[in-house]
Amino acid sequence: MTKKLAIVLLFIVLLPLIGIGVLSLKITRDDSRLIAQQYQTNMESELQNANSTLENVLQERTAAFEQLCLSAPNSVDALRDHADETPFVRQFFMLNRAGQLVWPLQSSTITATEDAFFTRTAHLWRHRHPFRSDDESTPLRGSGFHSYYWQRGLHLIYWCTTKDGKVAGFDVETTRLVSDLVAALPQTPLDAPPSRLIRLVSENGDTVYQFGGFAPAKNTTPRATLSLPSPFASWHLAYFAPKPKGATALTRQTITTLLLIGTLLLLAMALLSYFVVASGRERKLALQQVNFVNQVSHELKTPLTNIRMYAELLADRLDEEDEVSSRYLNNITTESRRLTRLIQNVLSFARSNNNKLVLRPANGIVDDVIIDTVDSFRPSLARLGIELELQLDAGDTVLFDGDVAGQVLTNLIGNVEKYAREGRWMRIESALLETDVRIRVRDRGPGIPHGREKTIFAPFSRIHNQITEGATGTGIGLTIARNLARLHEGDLTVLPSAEGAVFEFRFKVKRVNQ
Amino acid sequence: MSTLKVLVAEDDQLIREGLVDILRQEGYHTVEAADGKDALLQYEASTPDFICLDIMMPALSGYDVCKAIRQKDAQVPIIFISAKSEEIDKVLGLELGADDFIVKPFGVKEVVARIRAVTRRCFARIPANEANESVTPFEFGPWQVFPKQLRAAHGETQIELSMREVSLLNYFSANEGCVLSRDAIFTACWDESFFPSSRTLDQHIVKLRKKVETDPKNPTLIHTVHGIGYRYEPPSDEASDKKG
Repeated sequence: MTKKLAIVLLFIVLLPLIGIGVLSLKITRDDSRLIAQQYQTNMESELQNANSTLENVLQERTAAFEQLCLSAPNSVDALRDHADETPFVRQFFMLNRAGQLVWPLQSSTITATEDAFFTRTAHLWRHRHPFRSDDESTPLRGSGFHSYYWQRGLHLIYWCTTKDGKVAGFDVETTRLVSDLVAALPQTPLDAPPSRLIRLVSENGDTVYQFGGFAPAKNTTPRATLSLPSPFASWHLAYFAPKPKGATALTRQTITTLLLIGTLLLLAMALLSYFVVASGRERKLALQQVNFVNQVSHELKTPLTNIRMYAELLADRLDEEDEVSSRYLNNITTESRRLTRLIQNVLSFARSNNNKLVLRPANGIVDDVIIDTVDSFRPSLARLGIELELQLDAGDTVLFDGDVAGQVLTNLIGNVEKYAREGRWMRIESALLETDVRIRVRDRGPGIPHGREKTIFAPFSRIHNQITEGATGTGIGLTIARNLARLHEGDLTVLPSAEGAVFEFRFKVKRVNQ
Repeated sequence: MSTLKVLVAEDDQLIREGLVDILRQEGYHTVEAADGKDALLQYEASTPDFICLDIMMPALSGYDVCKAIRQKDAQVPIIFISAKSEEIDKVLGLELGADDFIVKPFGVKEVVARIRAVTRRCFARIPANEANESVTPFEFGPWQVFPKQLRAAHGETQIELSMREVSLLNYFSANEGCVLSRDAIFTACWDESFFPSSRTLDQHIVKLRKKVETDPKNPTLIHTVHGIGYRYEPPSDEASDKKG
């Protein structure tokens, strides 16, 4: 595999994966945000509901408190009785129109409750108290709560202006009021799911009441808080809950997505690496194979050159009368030529496997190539008693690769020598068509078995039968011949024949204007 | 006829010796080199007329030798003789300035044909005013011999000749009717450093007769003078007409 393929793989596999990863993360993040938002809304909604409940209770109580103030009796004893009868009142107090406390007053006749009231509220009366109008000539109008703190606790005073301009009020029994508030909030059933817990928290951070099945760890920060309405504005509701399911799933989903993408990326990288390594190894092996074949061929060619050259030189020096020696030398030359063809075939095969075959067209005559090729076979054909017929009709000059045509023909004639010798006949026909040259080689040998017409062109394919057994051959001749024919924009095929085998070799040529 | 000098650079001793034999038989002087460096030294020392160069040689490759020679002489013909037969090898060799490329294993006839082709180009480069008598066309019987083309023609018939054969024909032609001893022929037509046997001369004459005689077994142009040598007898006009 080339670098180009690696880059293509990178674009085809890695980039879409990264794209999907980024998209998934974005979708996951958006989902997480949405879930978190919904969760927050739910929490706030629950807190708001609880708060509304408390607000309702307070409104009811406020109305009742106003009535209490307005209907407060004028006599001391009646006030004391009224206070005792009313659970929300700890101590009544009255101010005159000028805003001066008229009851209770510190004297020897005050009760313990009244004394305690003075003790708790002493700071109120010491200076300018909140129930007096800024303008002393105008009485204070209105009603409401006044909060104050005493002994680390919230205390409330409810007051209102009476019809005659006085101020009536009372120190609220806060515990009772809080008790009413708490009673209005939901209770926690035994089988409450541990989904959440809402706490009513006082100004000191003490838990006044809580409901819900969740048990937060100590010092856990609430997920949401909401302040209570006045006069409990220093109190708040706190929402505790485990990590939201959505948020947990979010993280898991993110991790799963990341893991999936990571795995896919790793797989893609591994695949890419495998291809790169495998193709590198393949290329290296192919190169080694070609180098090996080249080297072996080179090593074979040197002694072959010597055998052929010295045989020819010796033949040149022989007396014409010495026919036996001439024949021997002729055999040496013929066989060395055969060996040359075999080496050429092996080289061509190695090159065709690595797409290294190149066409080198030149002007020439196809029939000349046929005659030259046939001439190199004549001694061996004569020795084997194979009669040769030529019917050549491609004598015009055309543009073609003579080496390629010669090598294809060499393989076809060589096959007749090896596999069809008992037919003792071979005919070669050539014809120059419009854009092609057609060469047919016929023999009277055993022919190609039915169904093997295509498979015989496969590398190392041999027809194992009685006739061909013992015949030599590498099994690559026809493969190379067909590859070369196709390189020359033609083909090599087997034609149907009643007798022997007929191979047709076609290739493209370009006519040369003479 | 002036003899050409050929440098044969080939690391395989047997191939080198075979090539040298072929070249000498053809009528060339030869200089040998067994590796690339030696080839450059021999080139400097002997200034050959053309060079046969193997590619894969020890010390210095044929490509490097070719490059070095081309820097000094852009004209001297160089023939690569190599087992490397890939397209790229040939292209590289020819781009470096080689004139021809012979792939091993080669036949003797192929080598001879290519060497003769290069020789013709070598002679063609010699300006007409510098050409000596030995390369001017001459007659041999009915044949018109063209030394610079290594060819002889008679009517429509053309024959290829080696340099040695041209020398022999030239020598015979210059001494028509004279009996020429073997020694005289050797001295005139062979390299001084090469001492061929009588058999060598006889073989050359046999081949020459095959080319120029109508009936080589009954020669009418080159006659054998037993015990001495050969004699060239130009045919009478009548006989000449018969051959044509």
